Amino acid sequence: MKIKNRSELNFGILIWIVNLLYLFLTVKIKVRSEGVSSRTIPYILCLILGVLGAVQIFKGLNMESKIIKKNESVDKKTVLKVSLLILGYILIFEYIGFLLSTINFLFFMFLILSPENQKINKKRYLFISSIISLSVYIFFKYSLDIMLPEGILGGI
Amino acid sequence: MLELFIGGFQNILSPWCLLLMILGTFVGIIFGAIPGLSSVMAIALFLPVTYGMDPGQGIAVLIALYIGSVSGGLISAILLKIPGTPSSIATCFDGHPLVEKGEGAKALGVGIFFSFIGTMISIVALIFISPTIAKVAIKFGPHEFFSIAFFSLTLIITLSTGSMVKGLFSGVLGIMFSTVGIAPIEGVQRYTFGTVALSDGFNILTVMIGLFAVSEVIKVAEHSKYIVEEEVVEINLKVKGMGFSLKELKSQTINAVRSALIGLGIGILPGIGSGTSNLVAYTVAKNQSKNPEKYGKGCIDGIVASETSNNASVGGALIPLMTLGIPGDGVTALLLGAFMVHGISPGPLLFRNYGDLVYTIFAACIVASILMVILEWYGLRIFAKVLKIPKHILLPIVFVLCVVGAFALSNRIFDVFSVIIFGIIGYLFMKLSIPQAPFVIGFVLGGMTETNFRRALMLGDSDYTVFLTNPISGLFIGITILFIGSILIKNIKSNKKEECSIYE
Repeated sequence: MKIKNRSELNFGILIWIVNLLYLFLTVKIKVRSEGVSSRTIPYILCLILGVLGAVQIFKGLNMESKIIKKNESVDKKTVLKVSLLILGYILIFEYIGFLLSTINFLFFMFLILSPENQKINKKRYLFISSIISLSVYIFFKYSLDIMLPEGILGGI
Repeated sequence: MLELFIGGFQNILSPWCLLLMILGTFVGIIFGAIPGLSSVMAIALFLPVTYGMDPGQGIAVLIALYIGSVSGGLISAILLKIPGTPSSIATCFDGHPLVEKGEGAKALGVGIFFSFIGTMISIVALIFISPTIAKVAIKFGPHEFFSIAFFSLTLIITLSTGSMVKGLFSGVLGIMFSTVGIAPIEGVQRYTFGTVALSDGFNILTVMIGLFAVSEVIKVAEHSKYIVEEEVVEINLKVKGMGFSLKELKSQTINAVRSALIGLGIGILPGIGSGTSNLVAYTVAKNQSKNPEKYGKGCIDGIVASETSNNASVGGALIPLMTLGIPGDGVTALLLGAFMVHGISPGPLLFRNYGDLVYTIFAACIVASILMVILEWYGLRIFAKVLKIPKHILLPIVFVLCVVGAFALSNRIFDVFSVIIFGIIGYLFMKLSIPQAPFVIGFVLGGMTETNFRRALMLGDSDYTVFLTNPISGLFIGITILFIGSILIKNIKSNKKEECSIYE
């Protein structure tokens, strides 16, 4: 029995979704000239993506799926924690300032990414994150004349 | 020429620049040696340091990082049996068996020495080939630039590893992102949603940092809890010279020259570079050898082929970047961004308007190669220790430095957000096995292709045949069509074979 190749099919659908979104935004571009305009290349790209999506969907519908058991397990919990931490860091970066946000970010990143078989040394992590953050801040401010956000510590 | 060369050397041999180049080469080797860190990260990290420098000196430091990082991969390939970068995959095949035989110092010595030879041969080629190409390219108009960019795009997309559809999707998506901002010729806003920040489009550096650095950090998180630190082999480095004899050196002449030419040729081609050349050179060396059975069991020929070719790709990749403004891979795309940060557009005009800068870059390549060979050999003990630094400590620090680099571009948080967006895209690409390189090249060449397409049509009164009637443009369009045709036929044939094997 033929089993549809789900991942290939889903990828084809994804291509079409991206394409439709781009096409929708392209139609909205206000052009000033007739014929070749700022919409021309985007339309060509839509055409290419449309064809690619069709090829991929056709491939997905006609290809037997290979059942491959993956040995590697992905630690989704850690991935989620890291992603949220990165997002949080970027959001507070400007408001709280580089120094405080980076010390916190590095400290929690070390904690989250620490291998299970290793003993967590919080004092060491805090020391490394503080030293790194402070060194980067001083180096950028005084050696390169590049101001990093000072945030709530402004002026210190 | 000689005067320009002397000027170039004078420019980079100032104490501050030389110090930064030493540091750059050192950091480059470390980034090359540690699996998971890449040349792109190293350059992204150092870029802010060069903002305040003279363009020549700034680019020189980045070149030092580039050369160091391509060569650094051999250290982990030999000591850990894990290539630090894709450039050193083939080095593992014979490097580690030599270590097991107790000839680790010889493996490292051969690798380092022939990395230097490969780089030097490619630099000589760069010095002699690029001014000639630039002289021809200076006469190019929008038709020629359009067709060359178009040719490069198709080459990159179709040569990318894995599924052709995925490669094409990645490239087209890259071009799509390049259309964000003010459109060329007409000057209308596209996909900006009325925001000022998006009017300038996305910066290439934020794209690169996101795609290559952020996605790597998230990827590490997938298995960080269960990582078992690799054991670094201790090697006795108290040997005569670099661990190999003059007779062994002489026996490798043909192998080295052949591998350097392979590396150079592959480096010039857009889309593929040192990651491919080391494998190709290794295969060719094995096929040409009188004793192919020795390969994989610890013969120096394999290391020579791999290391000479991957470093020869460095000079090769710089040729299209400097003469045509077309980057061949992620690293050269980042270098293109670095040129632009310093207000310089690479291309044929670079040779006419900034001759001193061009020769400063040539001089930097030579000095960086010498620094690479000295630092790598004498600093081996330090690099072996660096390999022991836990990744869960190292990667977050690299991430922070990359974010700072993105922010320092124009002191706006928008760039940092862009880094995160491209980081998510990069991670999704990894999960879906979509190659990242076509995205980068599509992003870089997209703008160039569209601008020249519009200009050419304006000059030719909207006549599309101008692309075919113009000899050089027509030639490249013809090659592109032939190339796409051959790839399609090859794909259809391989699909049919696959189907047959399923039903058998």
